[in-house]
Amino acid sequence: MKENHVDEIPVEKKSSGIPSEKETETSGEKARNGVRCTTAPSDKKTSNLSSVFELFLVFFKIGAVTFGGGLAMLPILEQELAEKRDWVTKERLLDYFAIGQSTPGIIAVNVATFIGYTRAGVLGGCLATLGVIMPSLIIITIIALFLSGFNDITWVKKALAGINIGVSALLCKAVWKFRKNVTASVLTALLFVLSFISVAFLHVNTVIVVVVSVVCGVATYFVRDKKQNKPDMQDTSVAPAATKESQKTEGGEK
Amino acid sequence: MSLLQLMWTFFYIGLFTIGGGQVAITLMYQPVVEGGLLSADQFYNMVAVSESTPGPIGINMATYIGCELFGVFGGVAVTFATVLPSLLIILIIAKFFDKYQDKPLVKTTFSCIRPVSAGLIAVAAWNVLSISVVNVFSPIRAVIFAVSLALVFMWKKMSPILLIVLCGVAGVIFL
Repeated sequence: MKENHVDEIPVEKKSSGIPSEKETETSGEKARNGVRCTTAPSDKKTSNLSSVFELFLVFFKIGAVTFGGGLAMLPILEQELAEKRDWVTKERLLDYFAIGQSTPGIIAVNVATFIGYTRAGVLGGCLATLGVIMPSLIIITIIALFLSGFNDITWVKKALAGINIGVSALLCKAVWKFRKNVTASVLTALLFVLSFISVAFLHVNTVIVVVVSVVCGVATYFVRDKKQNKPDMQDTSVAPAATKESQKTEGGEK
Repeated sequence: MSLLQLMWTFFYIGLFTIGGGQVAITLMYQPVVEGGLLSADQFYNMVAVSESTPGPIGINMATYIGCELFGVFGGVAVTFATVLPSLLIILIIAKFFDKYQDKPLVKTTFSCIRPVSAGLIAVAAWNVLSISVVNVFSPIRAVIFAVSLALVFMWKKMSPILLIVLCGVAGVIFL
């Protein structure tokens, strides 16, 4: 329990002892805000002040350590939100990323808004978003005002080269963690391989790839689940048809 | 161009960025460089800084351009203008997602979306690996990568943040 709250950001240390665990929320909140509190576990939406404030701090921290764009955020989100706090499941995070990829806006912001809203409604969505963009605002403003040659500093370059290597290791681990979703059936394995090849080497637009997977999913439902009413992915009879479909789209892109 | 016009331009960019930071940079180039606000050199220098500082690249660019042209307040204003469309759209989507996520059709659909989402993360892993190890191969880079992999796979408690810090330090010392 204790080590969950070891953080680099000193502000968080002060507050995180109080509200971050579901069970302790009640007493901590009384002491800090005098807000009327409910004894119900905060699995559902909680829009009280301390949990909204925690959302802001968590996303501030995530924004401050995300190097290399929105997708590199996933391993950190997983650690902070799924493992430490049990706010979302790993699978749900993947869903948010898929939605964030294929809707307008910057992926990191989309995911933050989504999680914030799910935790604590509109206010939660806004504060999580504010949290994730705040480090950028602070760091970039400082660089723009005072450090025009930031990128030419030798040790900065070296540190970044090292960080990139670490980020790629983290992303490998992230992919590995989702192996169950990939190996669920022949169809899902094919979708994984095809999406990787088409985006990494054929440079197909990611939005098209996500849309194709949605089409596959809907087709699977109507071809298989509706008849059998079985929720599992064992039946692979639909795989050839769906694969042809995704190949067709890829061919059109080339 | 006034600050209000720039905010409007970036609102528009936020609205049409589908698929991440690279798309945002492509969309920004036209109004900012071809519109004569900044030179191409300045622009690409900003891209390099945005890619190498923490935070989403699109947000870093918005803050940087706003701050460069209109000062601190400009940076904040342009950033909020960029974020606003996605904030509104996602709030609407999240509202419906909450309601429909347990429907069988939605569940089956997401069982097909998840492997693709994992595939896209594999692409991100591949891209970062290419620029940091494969394309600029040296034994020491390979060793840092191997040690990082070993750490994240063998040691369950390895925190991603700690790994990033360690790799940064290793980079300063060894690269």
